[in-house]
Amino acid sequence: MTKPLELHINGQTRSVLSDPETPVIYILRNELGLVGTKQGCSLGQCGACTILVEGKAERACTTAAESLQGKCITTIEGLEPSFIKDAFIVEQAAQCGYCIPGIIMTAAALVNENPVASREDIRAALKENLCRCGTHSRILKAIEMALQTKLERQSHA
Amino acid sequence: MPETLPAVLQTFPLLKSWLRINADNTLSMFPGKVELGQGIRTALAQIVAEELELPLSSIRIPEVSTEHSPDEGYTAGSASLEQSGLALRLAAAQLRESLKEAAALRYETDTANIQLKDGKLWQQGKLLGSYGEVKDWLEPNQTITGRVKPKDCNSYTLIGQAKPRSDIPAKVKGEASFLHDLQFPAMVHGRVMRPSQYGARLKSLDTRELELPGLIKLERKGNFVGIIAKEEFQAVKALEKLAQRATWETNPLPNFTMLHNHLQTLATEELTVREGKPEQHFKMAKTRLEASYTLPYQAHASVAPSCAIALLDNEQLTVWTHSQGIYPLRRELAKLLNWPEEKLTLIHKDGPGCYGHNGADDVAADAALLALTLPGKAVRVLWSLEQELQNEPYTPAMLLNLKAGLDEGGKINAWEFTGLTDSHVGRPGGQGDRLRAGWEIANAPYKAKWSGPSEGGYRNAETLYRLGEARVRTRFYQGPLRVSALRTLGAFANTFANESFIDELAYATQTDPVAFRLNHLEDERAKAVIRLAAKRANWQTRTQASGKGQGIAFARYKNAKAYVAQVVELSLNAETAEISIELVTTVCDAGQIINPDGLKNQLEGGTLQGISRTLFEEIKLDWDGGGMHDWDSYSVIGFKDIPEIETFLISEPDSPILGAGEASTPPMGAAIANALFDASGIRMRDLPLSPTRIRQRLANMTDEELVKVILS
Ligand code: FES
Ligand code: FES
Repeated sequence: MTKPLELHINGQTRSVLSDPETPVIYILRNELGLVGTKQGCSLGQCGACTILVEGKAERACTTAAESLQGKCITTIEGLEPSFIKDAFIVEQAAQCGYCIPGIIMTAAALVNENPVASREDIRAALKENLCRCGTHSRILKAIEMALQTKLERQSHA
Repeated sequence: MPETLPAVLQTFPLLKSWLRINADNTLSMFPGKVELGQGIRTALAQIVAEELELPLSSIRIPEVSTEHSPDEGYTAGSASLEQSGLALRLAAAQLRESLKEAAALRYETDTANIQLKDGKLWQQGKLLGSYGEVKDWLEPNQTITGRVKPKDCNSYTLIGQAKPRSDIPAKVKGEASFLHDLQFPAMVHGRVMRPSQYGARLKSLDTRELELPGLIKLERKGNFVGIIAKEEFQAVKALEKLAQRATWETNPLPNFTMLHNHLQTLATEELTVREGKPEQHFKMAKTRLEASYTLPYQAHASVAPSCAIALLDNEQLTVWTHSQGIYPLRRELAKLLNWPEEKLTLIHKDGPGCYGHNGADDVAADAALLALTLPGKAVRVLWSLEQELQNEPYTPAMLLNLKAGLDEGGKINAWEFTGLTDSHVGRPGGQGDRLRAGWEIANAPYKAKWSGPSEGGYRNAETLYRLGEARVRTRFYQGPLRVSALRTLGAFANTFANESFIDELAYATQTDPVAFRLNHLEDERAKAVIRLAAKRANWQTRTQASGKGQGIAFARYKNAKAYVAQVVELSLNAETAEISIELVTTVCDAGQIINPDGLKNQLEGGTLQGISRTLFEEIKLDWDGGGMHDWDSYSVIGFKDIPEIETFLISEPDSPILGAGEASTPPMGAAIANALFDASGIRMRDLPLSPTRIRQRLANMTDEELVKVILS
């Protein structure tokens, strides 16, 4: 049942031998050691496993590895530049922190698509990301800070 | 300074059990309390670094482990900073003085001439050496006396500072911070089969001609069925296939729509908290009021299911766990597995937020049981979300009956609180009878032996108000579901009832709810948080329902820890009956503050969890095929529901630390219900305050009540 798969992850081509149906989360975490993509519900409901596929936020737990061949995958480890992560650290936007990488990846897609996103846009983008610790308001602030940083950098560029 | 040595220092008196200076001039500290996302590591490091004149970056905190950490029991009850913080403060103060004494002895001078700064010792401007260089001058086996006075709070440089948490950068960057992320060479993946109907028991399992790719082991012991597979996805699929071969004996459950009626038919054991005789006073009262409030069963519902890794190597069994208490769990596992405690090592690793006793302990038993069948391999077991939502112990459904009398002057002269709850205690205690797998092996019922009445059920049933002649008691039923500790235990429901009822009394006497509370309080710190919350929230006295409203509530957690007052501002959508919370203003007095930002983070989290429990959360097992399967079955707060939050701290540097990790959740229920009443004229007494419930309440209102209501 296993077959060789080629995945483009964080700018590198990685070859793995796997059952092609395997959700990519298991390959990222267990085969490639990219444990920043967190395992939550495994049902596509919580957003803990969010990765970027061609810049769009996708759920690694419900996406078969095979379907990602030839596409450009980014995980939290490869997310550059780091201004969103930095904003989360400055705002101390984490309690247990388990939901945070998935939220940052969702935010990264938003920041690219809509650099002038409002608080309402951020809420809408995060509507399927869960945080059970109640860190939401710091998370919203951190993403606003990241958007601000991006705008400032663009105007200086 | 404490009059007696804290209990953990009596049990673990050796200084080196808590603090060790390393040759590289860093300091290792060994708290027995674990990181749960509350920032405990950073706060404890601040305390130790402060006493020892060390930069925060010099503090090392190895993982909490039965190998080297003192047994501090469970990390629970907002007690970590109070207990572990005090123990470490006394230890650090003593280490500081012994460094001075050792240097004074060696250089034949007075300790007053020795100064400590940045991890170095100085004698009037002359460098004597770094801590790392002089550590061997110290008496290695000294015990902590508790007689060395900690630093004066006026000379603090680290305590009271908003220091960033040391663990956050790695978590934000997605580094391997969690138990779930641990990897071992040749690690294999276990899964355990559990029913998809709550509490069902395995009747049969047909494993004939079953092909499970990647399967290494299928272990069955009584009704405990687990598998081990080479790869994780193989384990997931194997479990699915195996489950299709099982039949289950279903478990009769009560009708959840009528849950509290059912609970009232159960036998109870009663605990009287305050033994007043208010009967006469009720007769003398000018007005009497009665009301009943309810809370459904609610879950911890961690963002990720529980996980554990176990490895049997050379007769030594090691379990990596995100349990809140590695020592109690070790005793429990030793008993369950019939395995000597000294051959059992438990190592704590951070997990997803647990908020109390969730599946973490159970899954550790699952992993241990499977690892024992496969020596030499690390076996990782992860529950599914459905398994977590259905097997974790819930917080019990509660019913609170309140009755009060008001005298001529509008003061409460008689009070009666009668609570009904199941036990809030179900944690492993070392008897081997509290873990899911154990009941399955013994083919026993699906929940632990009843723990009976205890403090958690009546936590905050008493209040700080002067209530005239009062009787407060709580009855404990033995309910149909597995229960244990969830953040705040009974305090959330008890405070919801007390603080809603206080508001109803204020309304009955046509007194402003803030003024009514102040009129019934003597404790100045309580009054101060209420006054400040009202001021910061720009409190408006109620005029009439307008669709928008404010509500206040107050509680001092456990009547002994941090003081919290909260004001909620919300609006009610007259068409959808949906509540939208706009602003929550929280004021907290937590005594001496170690890390104001860490404290605010905790208070904010508790506030949002309070909103989630008030508006959304409810365990209902008699729908959707008999259980809670996913995030559609168990609704929780999402980003669309997040109000503005403003949190203010009252700093009392001279006062002892008052635990605050749970303090902002209890008042939230009533603050919201009171604001809803202010906004709409609808008094809701049953949680959660869902649009369906609000509509039902409206349908059952009297004409007199309806006049004051705005809602179409
Ligand atoms: S783990 Fe993928 S959405 Fe929850
Ligand atoms: S910080 Fe714990 S779930 Fe979000």
